Amino acid sequence: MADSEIDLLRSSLDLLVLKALSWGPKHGYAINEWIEGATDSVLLLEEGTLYPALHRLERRGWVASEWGVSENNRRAKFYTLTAAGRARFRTQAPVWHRHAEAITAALRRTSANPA
Amino acid sequence: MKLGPHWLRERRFWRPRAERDVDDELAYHLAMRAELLEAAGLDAQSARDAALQRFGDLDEVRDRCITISHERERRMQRLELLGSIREHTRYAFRRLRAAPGFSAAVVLMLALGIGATTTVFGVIDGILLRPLPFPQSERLVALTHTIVVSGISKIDQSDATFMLYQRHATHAFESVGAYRTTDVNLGAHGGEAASAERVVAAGVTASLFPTLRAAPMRGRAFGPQDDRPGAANVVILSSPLWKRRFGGDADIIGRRVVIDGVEREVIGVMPDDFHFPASTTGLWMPLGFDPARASVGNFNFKGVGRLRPGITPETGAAELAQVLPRLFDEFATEIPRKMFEQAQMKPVVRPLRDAVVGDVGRLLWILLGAVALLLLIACANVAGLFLVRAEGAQRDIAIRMALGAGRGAVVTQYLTEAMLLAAAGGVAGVLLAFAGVRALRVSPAGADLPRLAEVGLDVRVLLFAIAATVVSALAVSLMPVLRARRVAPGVVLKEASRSATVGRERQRARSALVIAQVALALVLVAGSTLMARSFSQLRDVRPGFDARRVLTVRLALPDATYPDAPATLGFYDRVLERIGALPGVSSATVTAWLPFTDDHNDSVITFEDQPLAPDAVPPDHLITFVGPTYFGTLGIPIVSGRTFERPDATRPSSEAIVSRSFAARYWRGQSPIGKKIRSNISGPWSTIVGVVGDVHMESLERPADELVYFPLVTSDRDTAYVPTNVAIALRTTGADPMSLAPALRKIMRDLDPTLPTYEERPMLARLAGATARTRFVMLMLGIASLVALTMGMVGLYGVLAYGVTLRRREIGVRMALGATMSDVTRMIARRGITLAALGIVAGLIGALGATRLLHGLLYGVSPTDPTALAVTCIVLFVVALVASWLPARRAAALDPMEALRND
Repeated sequence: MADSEIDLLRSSLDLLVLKALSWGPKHGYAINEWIEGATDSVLLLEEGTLYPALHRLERRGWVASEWGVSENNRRAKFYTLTAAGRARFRTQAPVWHRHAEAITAALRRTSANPA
Repeated sequence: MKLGPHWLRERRFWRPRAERDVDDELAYHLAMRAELLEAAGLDAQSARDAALQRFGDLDEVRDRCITISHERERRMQRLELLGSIREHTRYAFRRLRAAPGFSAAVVLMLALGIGATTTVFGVIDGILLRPLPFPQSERLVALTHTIVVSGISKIDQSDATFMLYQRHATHAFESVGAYRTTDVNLGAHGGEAASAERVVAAGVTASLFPTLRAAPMRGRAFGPQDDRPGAANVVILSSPLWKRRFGGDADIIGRRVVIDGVEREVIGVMPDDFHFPASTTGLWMPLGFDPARASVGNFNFKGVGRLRPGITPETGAAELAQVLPRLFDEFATEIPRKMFEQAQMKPVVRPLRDAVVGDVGRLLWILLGAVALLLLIACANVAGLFLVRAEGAQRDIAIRMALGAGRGAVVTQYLTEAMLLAAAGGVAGVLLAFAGVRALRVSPAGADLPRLAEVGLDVRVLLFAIAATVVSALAVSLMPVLRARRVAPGVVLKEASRSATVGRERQRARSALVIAQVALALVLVAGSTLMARSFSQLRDVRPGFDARRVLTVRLALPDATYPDAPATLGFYDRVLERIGALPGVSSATVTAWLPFTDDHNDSVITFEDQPLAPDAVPPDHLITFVGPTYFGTLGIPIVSGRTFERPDATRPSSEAIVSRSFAARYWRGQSPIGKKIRSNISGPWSTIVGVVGDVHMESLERPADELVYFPLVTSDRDTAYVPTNVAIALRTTGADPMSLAPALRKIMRDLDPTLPTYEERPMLARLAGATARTRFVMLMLGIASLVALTMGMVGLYGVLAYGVTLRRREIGVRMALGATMSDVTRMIARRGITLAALGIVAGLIGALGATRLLHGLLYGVSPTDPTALAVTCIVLFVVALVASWLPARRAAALDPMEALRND
């Protein structure tokens, strides 16, 4: 809970990862490609920030990892969505939307008066 | 398999697994990106650089990932461990619940062992280990002197020596204080007779409480203005006295109370936990030393000092020794200086705690050894039970091992069960210890242990209990665990139901345990037998008087109402007259010092016919003042001469009576009657009119004292002196002296209602106090021995009974082949005796070493006393016979057909 209220960017990344995995296991590189593609390359992160996020999600139990062989026969670490992760996504995605709408509305204001 | 960028490859082999995984993962990402860029046209190096660029700060990402990985690993390990513990515990619990008899027996035995050990350790902790309850108490020291004078070697302080040190020994000492214990009569304001009582009190200098860094919780402490001669009379109360006697009155400060006939104002109350000099001290009064009238040679005060930081006791003693010679320059005295120097007085400074604790340490450590033996025996017994249980569970274990449980799992299972049982035993043991310590505080079996009020179960004692529990758990599971490692599941599962081979091995182990138990029990029994013999020897010591049928009571006449000799003597005459008129009284007397009372009077003695060499030190002897009927009442034989004449307050008497050993020492063979002695180095002589039999005044262990008796009325610097702090003794014709106590009390009340009497008890009770400490140790060792014998007996019975079960077939065969019942009985009994005999031999060897430790406590008996050891062996033998009897009979009662049929 604290994450989503304080660190909006971090929670956004988490949700993107959870979404990326909702279609099945992916390794870190593939997740990165999906995010770039799905956000229409609008979101260009430093690629490195993805990995701490993945490890954090695994520590919280929302994703699980397993070493496997990639499509080009290399050893890679694959992540899967857990049941808890799925539930987390279902509850947090609407929250994120609400926050985003509220911020958008605030940024669109034309008057200094808060009321 | 490509491993990734070469800059990560080098570190691969000696990194822990988490780091390797992270490196591999990141390397994969970078490799993929680099490949893509190469395919788009860049050369290898630029591709790699660009990949890194897009990635961001590689090191930072790597560190963060590794940290998170580690956290995750740790949490998983924790969960796994907890889960494993929970599983083991639950399983162990289930198994133990299914064997309630076994569990109960184990818990009981461990509780006894751990409880006893913890109790004794608690006592040791409170008395010997814990520092005194004062701030920085390690700097508090007791100040005494050694002295070379015939008859004594240690003395305390006189008011002169104390004042001298207080003035000049300021370099080593932050402050010094002095005190003296005494008994006082406490009456309420107005002197209501009903509430007069005798209270233990202490006279203290105003500097004593600040030296200890103790302060009253109400009111104020004594200041210099209270501690001067002629100051207003004040007193400080103890908290228990304040609560008991004054109901915890909030307005106690300023109230006036009457102490020894003198009115004093209460200026303070000490806190609940302040017990100095003893836990019985009820009130404190200022000593009011007067430098002008200091008495150099009367060492009646105890000195306490607080060393400055960094100063050792040796340095302190050195400073005192430096100051002492100035004594004669600063205080006037009749004692010649040379005599003092010949006495070689040397100040002694030692930690206050040692002085308070005294010599009780040895006794306590021996007790701890005894209960530790008891715990060992209990553990041996429990280990035997565990072995049997392991035997019964063999199939279960074999199956589990065949199904994949490692040896480690089996070992853990045993340990868990042992820990659970030991924990239960430990908790029960601590509760027992709690009760035990409380019981000891309430009635210390007369052993008079110092600092007993401070004994309680604190953190250190609880830690000790936990340690004992853990050690016990490990000890009892050791053997089954070692055996478990050798179980071959295949063998066990193949054996039908007999498992005789393994059973035999277990029997050997159990037999070894029983032998150990018998040996340890023998050591304990030997110890208590020796103490019992000591006790009986001590009781056989003739005290020199006839304590039977004598009733005693102590009283102290206050100066205010009995200001001079005629008044005091008049009171005694009236009391004795009335007592003599009571039916059932054959004689009565007054004495200043009754044997085996916590009193002590000594004096120098000089002889007219053996004048001292100039400046030599005169010998010091015990003295007392008695009435003429004293010897008759106490049954002390008059060896030659006569007793004193009737005392007359107007004519101080110049008679003296000496004890036989005193006469033998100084007049070897000659009759001392008519010779002159005095209890001073100058002044009038007293003439010896009689010699009486020797009496033990203070201790039965030491030889009888060389005593000098003076009459009730003596002269003290031109005035008559009659002692006011006395005891009255009366001999009854009936068997129970206490039956006359009410009549005695009535006489006292009729004659003076404001005078309280105290320590009203038969002389026999006082005598019993002399043997109290020996009796205490004997009792404790005796109880431990009884418990140990019981446990040993149970252990032996268990092994034999189980042996019978194991050998059923064999017994059946023997009986079928013609063995009679008595043959079988003898066979089993012989096994029991053999085991016991081995244990006895082992125990004897141990006892010969161990009983040496008792040597400070024994009286009249050597640690290797053959009689005691023989008795011990016989006792153990008999116990072994009893323990073997039942299994032997059961074996003999076996029906051979049944035994042979039931494989």
